[in-house]
Amino acid sequence: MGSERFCVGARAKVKSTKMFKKVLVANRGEIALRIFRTLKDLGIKTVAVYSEADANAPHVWAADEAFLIGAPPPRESYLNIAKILEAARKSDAEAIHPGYGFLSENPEFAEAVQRAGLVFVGPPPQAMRALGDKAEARARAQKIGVPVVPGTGAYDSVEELQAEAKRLGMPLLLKAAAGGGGKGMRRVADVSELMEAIVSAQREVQAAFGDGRMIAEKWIEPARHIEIQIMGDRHGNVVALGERECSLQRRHQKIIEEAPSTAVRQELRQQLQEAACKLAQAVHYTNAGTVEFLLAPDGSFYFLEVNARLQVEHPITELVTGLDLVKLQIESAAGEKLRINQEAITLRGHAIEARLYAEDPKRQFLPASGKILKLHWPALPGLRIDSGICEDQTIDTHYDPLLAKCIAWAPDREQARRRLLAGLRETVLLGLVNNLGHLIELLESRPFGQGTTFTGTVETLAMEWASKSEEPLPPALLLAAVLADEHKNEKERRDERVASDRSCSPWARLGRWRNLEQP
Amino acid sequence: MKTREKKTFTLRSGEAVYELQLEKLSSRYRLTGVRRSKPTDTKPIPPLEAEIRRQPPYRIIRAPEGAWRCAAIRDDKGVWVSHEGRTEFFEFVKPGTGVAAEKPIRAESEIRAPMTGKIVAVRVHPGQHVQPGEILAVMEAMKMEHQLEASQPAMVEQVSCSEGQLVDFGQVLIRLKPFVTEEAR
Repeated sequence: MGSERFCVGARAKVKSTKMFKKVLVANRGEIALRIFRTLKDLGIKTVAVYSEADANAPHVWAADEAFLIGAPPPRESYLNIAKILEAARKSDAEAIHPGYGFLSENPEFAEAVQRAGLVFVGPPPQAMRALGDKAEARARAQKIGVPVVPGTGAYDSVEELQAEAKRLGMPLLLKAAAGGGGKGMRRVADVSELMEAIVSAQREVQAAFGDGRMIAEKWIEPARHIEIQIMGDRHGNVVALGERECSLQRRHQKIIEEAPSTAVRQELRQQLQEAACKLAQAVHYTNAGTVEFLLAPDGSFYFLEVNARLQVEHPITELVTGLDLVKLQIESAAGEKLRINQEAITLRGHAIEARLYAEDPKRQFLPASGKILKLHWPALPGLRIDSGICEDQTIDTHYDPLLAKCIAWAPDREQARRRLLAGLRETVLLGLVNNLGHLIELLESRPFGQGTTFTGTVETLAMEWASKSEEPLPPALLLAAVLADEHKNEKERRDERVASDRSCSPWARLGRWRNLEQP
Repeated sequence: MKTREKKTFTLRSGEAVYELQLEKLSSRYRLTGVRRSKPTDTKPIPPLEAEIRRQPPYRIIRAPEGAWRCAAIRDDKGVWVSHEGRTEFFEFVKPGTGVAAEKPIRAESEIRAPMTGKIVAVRVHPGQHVQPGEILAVMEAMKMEHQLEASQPAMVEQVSCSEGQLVDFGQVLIRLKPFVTEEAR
């Protein structure tokens, strides 16, 4: 892609460290494939792990080796530390990349990896502990003078949190003390909803992270979600790679992200970057991380949390900085010095990412399952597809419903928006309910066009659209429906190919023989 | 003289039922039909006479009023079709059985699983009276929780799920007996 400017040529200057020969990726879906891609670029062999539900998933077949690690429930496979380490041992992998979600922010996992004599591609466990825990991270941020949203400490006990939350006042936001991804997040507008919300959120959090501690924060509205990408090496260097705006969210999970933000000018960017780096240095952070802030309309910002891992939306930063974040992660984990300094980092153009989910925007974004019958990705300049799916794959409800990410880059925001729209309109994904149409509507919406997006925008737009009567179907769609081809699975398609190959035989083509010497 | 092929299709999408006639002319297709949303609400579909060009994964549908690039595929349940990212699913129905009126959806007397997943909590028991907005059960899938709420005043008739149970999409979880008010009659 034209927009990627990888740092080349600097290698000779760095004292050569031992680069890995083989890396295991303890994840699935698009992120496993994304990490394999960089590993292949670096000439590193790849190892996949998979659950019984994923035997035919693309990530299994993209790796040089793949190990079955257990039953479909995450607890028995992708969260099963012993099984993952066993696969690493069997494959002779030297390092483990955890991706995002699953074990990526689990310090016990990072420690177990180190104890097994392997390298964990991520921050050191003590930095993860210090920042991964939201309550502790807040305290640390306050100590070094980074403003935080008023909130409570972390509580296991429902009663204690309830009492503290009441003192804080409504509306507020409940959050898991550990972990992210919107799990356990609940906006509570009224005291009467508080108890129910805490109990439900805690159950979700306990199931997702095995840690039921919760915090509550004051609700700030309208706010933008702005985050700073940081990268650190083991030699004390930390750089900030600009911001990402991720205000478009549903269920507190991001769906469209962009870099840079329309609300961040250079001066504010510097302030945010400084705060992020200061926080990282205070805990001797290394590797990739993201420092999240809420930006209020008056330009004041509040520290939210640190995601001590690579994030889903990292590609937009890659496209505007020209850096490969996974490559930087691998180099940092191998002990290499950062090859870039803060001054060398420039943001170029604009990038927007849209997340394609197996979910129903018409029914409160409920996860959907089904079989992918037809899949086609656009091939347009300036467009990057990070996909984790293939035709004939069955998507079930065991894992996160993220299917793929469509990311556009262009010299300016409006062009990037149009490119992404063109790409999404060309995308074909049939066989299960998904949010493709919703992403298009969001990108076409006035708030997005104007760059005035806040964390409540998706919900506001949904209410606006609900009152609108649905547009009638174009008759062409009905015509296409009645003329549709029958879905054939891979075996049927293969059989057909073989049959058609046979008909290509010159003997078949000759047709019936005719005797020319017939009188 | 050309023989004309004419086929009839009935497709359902949500509450709407499309009764369509497809005619194959020499090089074109002609689509006519009606859309029924309620037994009384029947609207004709603007007739379409179009040429089709295959351009995998799309079919280009070209008519005097415009051109559409659609993708479609059918399986044993129905047909998925998309145009510029807008995706629809149609169920094939046998002609004559698909009108919404003939399959009345009784005002939420059955609470069905809106997704495949696990029941994490059941909040009601048979005989209990519930109010709109009251939580009947809580489901979990892909680590997200979803609350099933009553939409009208009702009495719980039957609870056919239990905590920890894995349920399929569309499975009946709870049966309610709505309190029908006189005005609604």
